[in-house]
Amino acid sequence: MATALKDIQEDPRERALQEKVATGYQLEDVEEMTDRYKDVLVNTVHIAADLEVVTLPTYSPAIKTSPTLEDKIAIAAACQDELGHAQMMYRILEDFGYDTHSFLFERDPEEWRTFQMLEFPHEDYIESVVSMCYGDRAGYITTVDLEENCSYAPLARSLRKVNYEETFHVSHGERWTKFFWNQSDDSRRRVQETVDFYFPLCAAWFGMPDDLKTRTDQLAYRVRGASNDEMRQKWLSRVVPFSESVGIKVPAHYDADQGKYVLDYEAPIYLDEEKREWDYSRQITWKEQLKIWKKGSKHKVPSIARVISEEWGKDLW
Amino acid sequence: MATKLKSRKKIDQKRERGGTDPKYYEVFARKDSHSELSHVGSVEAPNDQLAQVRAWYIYDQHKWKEMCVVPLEAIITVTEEGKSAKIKMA
Repeated sequence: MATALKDIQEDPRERALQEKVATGYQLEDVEEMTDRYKDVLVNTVHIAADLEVVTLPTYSPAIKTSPTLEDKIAIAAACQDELGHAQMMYRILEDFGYDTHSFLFERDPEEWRTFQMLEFPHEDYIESVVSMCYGDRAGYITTVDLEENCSYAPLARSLRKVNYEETFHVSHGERWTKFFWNQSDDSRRRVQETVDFYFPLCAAWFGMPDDLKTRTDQLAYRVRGASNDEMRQKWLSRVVPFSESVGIKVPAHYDADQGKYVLDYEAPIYLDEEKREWDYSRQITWKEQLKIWKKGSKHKVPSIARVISEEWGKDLW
Repeated sequence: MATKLKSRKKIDQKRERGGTDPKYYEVFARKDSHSELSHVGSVEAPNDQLAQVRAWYIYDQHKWKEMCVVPLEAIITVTEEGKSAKIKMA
């Protein structure tokens, strides 16, 4: 699957396509693609589609505990949006020979490509709104980058709808995070506790730092426009001022000397999954981190198995 | 190590799709009387009725004034003659 770097340097077609997309050229047809372009594009859409679907088992437990009917509807509506996004992405994948039905219902849960941020089912409504505020913001930054920069025009166009709807999730999240911050001491404590858990998860959404990243085809073929660090910076520049304006403490700040936002810790750090606590004094290696990401949280397989088997149970409402 | 699923959903693709090959519909909509009818997306469905329902629920980002679905096979290309894709996602 992976092509060695020298192969691409030696293959004039690959080089020609890279140079073409670098000038802003957008592809409209599968026939215009090289093998390597197709690989990185399909891989990107595949992961994005899986991430849309896993929002369902992640968000849905909060439907049970959300306080009012409006809140239940808000979560259900967000899930419906996300599945609509998944449908569009799978539709794109079908042009590359994927079969959506078998992809959704016949793959083993371990094969799903998910990110840690979406692998912890929400325990209550506060967790859902905090997750929309910080997590959907992170997701939005990646999908906006694809809409603005992706060299495959059909994907870029399809993300217009996605991003339009994600803005609702983010603003819903911000409004209710602020509300619960001001509602009572208990709800404020719960908001802070949830942000403490989610902030490093969301910062890690953008992946490894640029200087350690070995796979660079997404940028070389302009499937994406911004690097991991650039997108992380963009995310920080939105969530840090928001948090500060509300009073929520986050492990990041603006560094005037460097002229950018920086994390107060050096990733990766150890996460106690059971307690949902980060140990800032315990740094782990990137090798360990990649292993953890690859395996997924303990909720990953049961959550996806539930989607596949449609075992929603009678206790959903 | 594969996880044994208690009840993996069995899908009869032929029955589900009304045939062996997927059937695609392109979705067109306009926001209001002053807007153009635009291509907003694509759905796969076994028949016209399900295509209408899927289009309405998936592309619900606006309160459309008008929406219609067109079977992909009914589209006759002018510029894309001979290409593999006649029309591509929104």
